[in-house]
Amino acid sequence: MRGRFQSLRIRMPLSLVAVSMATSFFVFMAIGVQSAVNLRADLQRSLVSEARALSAIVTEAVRHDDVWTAYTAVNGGRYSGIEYDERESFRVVLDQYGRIFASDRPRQFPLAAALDDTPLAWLLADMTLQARGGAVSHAEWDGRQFVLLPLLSEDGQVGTLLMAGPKDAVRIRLLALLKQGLLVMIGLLAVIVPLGWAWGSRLVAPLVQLAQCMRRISQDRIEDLECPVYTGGDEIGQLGQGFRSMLEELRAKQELERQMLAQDRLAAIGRIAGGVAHEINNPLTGMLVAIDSYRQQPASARNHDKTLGLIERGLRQIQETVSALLVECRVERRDCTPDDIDDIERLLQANEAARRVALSWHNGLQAPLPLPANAVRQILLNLGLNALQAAAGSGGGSVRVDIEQSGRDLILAVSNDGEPIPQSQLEHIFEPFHTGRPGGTGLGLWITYQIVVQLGGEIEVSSDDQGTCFRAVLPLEEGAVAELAEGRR
Amino acid sequence: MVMLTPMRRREFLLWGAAAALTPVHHVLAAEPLRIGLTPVILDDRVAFLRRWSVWLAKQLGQPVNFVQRAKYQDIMEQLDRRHVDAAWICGYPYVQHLDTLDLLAVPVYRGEPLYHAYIITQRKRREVQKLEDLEGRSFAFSDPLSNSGYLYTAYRLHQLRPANGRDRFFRRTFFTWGHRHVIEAVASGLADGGSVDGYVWDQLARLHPELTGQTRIVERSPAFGFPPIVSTHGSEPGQQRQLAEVLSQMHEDPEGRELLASLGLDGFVFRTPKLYAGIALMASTVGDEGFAG
Repeated sequence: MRGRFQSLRIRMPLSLVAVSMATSFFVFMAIGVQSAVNLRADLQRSLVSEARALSAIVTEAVRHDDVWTAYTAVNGGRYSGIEYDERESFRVVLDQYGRIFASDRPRQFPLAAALDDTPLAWLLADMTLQARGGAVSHAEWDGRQFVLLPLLSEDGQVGTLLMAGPKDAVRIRLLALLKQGLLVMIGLLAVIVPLGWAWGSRLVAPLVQLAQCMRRISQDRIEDLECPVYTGGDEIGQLGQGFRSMLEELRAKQELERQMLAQDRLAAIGRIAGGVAHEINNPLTGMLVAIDSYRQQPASARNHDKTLGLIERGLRQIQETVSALLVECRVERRDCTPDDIDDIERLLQANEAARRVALSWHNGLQAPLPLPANAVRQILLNLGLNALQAAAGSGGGSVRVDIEQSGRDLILAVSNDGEPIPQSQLEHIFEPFHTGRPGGTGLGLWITYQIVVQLGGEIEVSSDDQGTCFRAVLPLEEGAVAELAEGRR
Repeated sequence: MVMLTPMRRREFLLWGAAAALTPVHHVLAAEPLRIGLTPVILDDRVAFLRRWSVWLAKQLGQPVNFVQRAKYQDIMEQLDRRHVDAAWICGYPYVQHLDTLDLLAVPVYRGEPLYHAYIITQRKRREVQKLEDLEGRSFAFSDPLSNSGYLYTAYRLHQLRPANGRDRFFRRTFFTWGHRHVIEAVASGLADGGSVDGYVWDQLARLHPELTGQTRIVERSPAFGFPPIVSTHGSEPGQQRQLAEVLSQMHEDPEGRELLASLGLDGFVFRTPKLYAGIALMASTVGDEGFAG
C-alpha cells in the first residue's frame, strides 16, 4: 500500500486534489467567519429598526397607561393565546419604575412585576447605563442579542423597550448557511476533484512512462528495448532526452562488453587448451622417451616391464587429467545426513595443515537433506582443504565453516583469513588448471564449480583484507535433484 | 363620507339589480342610515357586516352605513351629537342615558333577550375558583362603559369590599377595548383574569375554540338585559321605527335568519327599559367609583 502511495502517479493527482480541497475549505471558512460577522450585524440592525418602529406607539401606550395597545404592538399581531416559539425572542416594555408594562411573552414577564435579581435585571441595568441620553444600547448574552431603547416623551423618559433576538440565531442561521455552502462546495469539488485528478495524471504521465522504461532496462535486453519517451522542452522532456542518450550509451557499452566477453572466452579456451595440452604433453613426452629408449636398447637388455610401467603411468596421468576435466557428479540416491558433514570435519582435522590452523565448524544440519551426499562431501572437502592451506600458508590463521539450511537452500560457507586472492585471479579462479598455489593441479575449484552447477546451485567467492570466503548455495528442490538424477542415468 | 371600494360598489349594483322593483334611484340618492357599532358583538367580522348592511339597506330602502369605534364612549358621543342615527350599545351606558335614548330593539339570545357576564381566568390556573382568588393578580376589563366587561366586576368587588381597598384588589388592571381582546389577554397570560361578555365568549367559543379553550369561566353573572339597539330621543322617529320594525322581522326573512345565525342570535324584540333595571341597580351602587389603574 505504501509503495502505491509512493508513486507520483497517485501522489501528484492526490496533491492537486488535496490542494483544491484545502483551498475550498479555507475559502469556506473565511466565508463562514465573514457571514457570522454580517449575520450578527444584520440581526442587531433589524432589532434596532424594529425597536424604533415600535417605539412611537409603545411610548404613547405607556404614557396613556394602555397596556393592551402596548401588548398588541410588541406582540406584532400574532394570534393571541397561542404560544409561539421564535427561539425565545422577546420584547418587553418597562414603565418608568422598571416594572413590566407589557411583553409579547406575558407568562414569562408577568404584568407589573419587576425583573429584580434575575440575570436579565443585571443586563438591563448595564444596558440602561449605556443607554443614558436616550441612545440605543446593545448587548449580547446567553446566545442572543439584546437591544434596549429608552422610550422618550417630550422631556423625559416614560419607559424602556427591551428587545431580545432569537436564541442562537446567529449560530442557527450560520449553520444553515454553511450547510448550503457545504453543498455548493461538495458540488464544486465533484467537478474539481476529477479535473485535478485528470490534470495531475496528465502531468505525471511522461514521468511514469520514463520510470517504466527504466524498470525495463533491468528486465529486458537493451537491444530489444523499444521505449517511446516524452522529449518536450520542459524538465521532464529533458529527462526523457537524457534517458534516450543514456540508453544509446548503454547499448554501445553492452556491445563493447559482449565483444570483450567473446574475447575473454576465447582467451579462456586458449588457456584451458594450453593447460590440457601441457598436462597431456608431459606424460606423452615421457612415454615417447621411454619408447625411444626401449627401441635403442638391445633386445636382450630391454626391460619390458619397466617401459610398459612407464607408459602405463603416463597414460594413467593423462586419464586422470581427462577424467578430472570431465567432472561428473555421480548421482546416488543417498541423502546427505548431518553425519556426512561431520565426517568431512574429521577428515579435515586429520590434514597436516589443520594442525596450525584454528578450524571452527558449524554444522547446522538437523536432519537428512534431499541432496546427494557424495557431491556435498566433495564440495566441502575441496573448499575446506583449500581454506586450510590458504590459512596455513599465511602462517597459521583460522578457518570457519558454516553449513546451514535456509529455506529451500543449503548454504555452505567456507572462509579463511589467509592472504587475499588478487582480483585478477578471482576472475579465473574457477577455471581448470588455474592454481594460485605451487604444486596445485588447478582442478579442485573447477570440479567444485562443476558439481555445484550440476546440482543447480551457485557458488561465489569474495576476497579482501579480512579474508576469503567461498559461498555455495544448493537448492533443495526435490524435483530438480530427481530430474538431475534422471538425466544422469 | 364613506369611500366606496370596488367591492362595495359591486355589491351596491348587485343589490340594485336584485331590488329592481323598489325605487332604486331613491335608495341610492337617499341619505344613508348610520348605525353605530360597539364591540358588544364580534364587530371585527367585516365581511359579515357588509352583508348585513346590504340586507338592511334593501329592507329599509335606504343605504346603511355601520360606524365602528373602538370605545363605547366614542359611539355615545356620536349618538349625543346625532352623528349616528342608531347604535348597538351596552346596557350600562343605556341606563346612564335613559332620558336621552330610545330603546329600539333588543336581541334575543337563546330564546330570551338576556345574557350573562363571565369572569374568566387562564384555563391552567387551577387555584382560581372564584373571583376572590384573583386578588393580587392582573385583570383585564373590556371598556369602562361595558356592563359585562366592567360594571358587573366592579359591582362584585363592591360587594366583596364594601368599605375600601377595592382599588388595590387587583395588582394591575387595564382596558382592552373589546371583549374579544379580554379573552385574548387572558389566553395569552397577559392578564390572570378578565371580565367579558358571556355572549361574545360563547360566539368566540364557536368560532375559535382554540382561543377560548385557553380560558376558563370562573363566575357567571345573573341574567342582564342584552345590549340594546338605541337611538337618540326625538330624532326622525319614522326612520327609527322603520329600523326597529325591520330588525324585529329579521327572523322571518331567510336571508335575515342566515344573518342572525351568523350573529348567534334568534331575532330582535321590543322591550321596555325595565329590562335593564338590574344594570341600573348595579350602576347606582357602584356610582362613579373607578378603580382601574
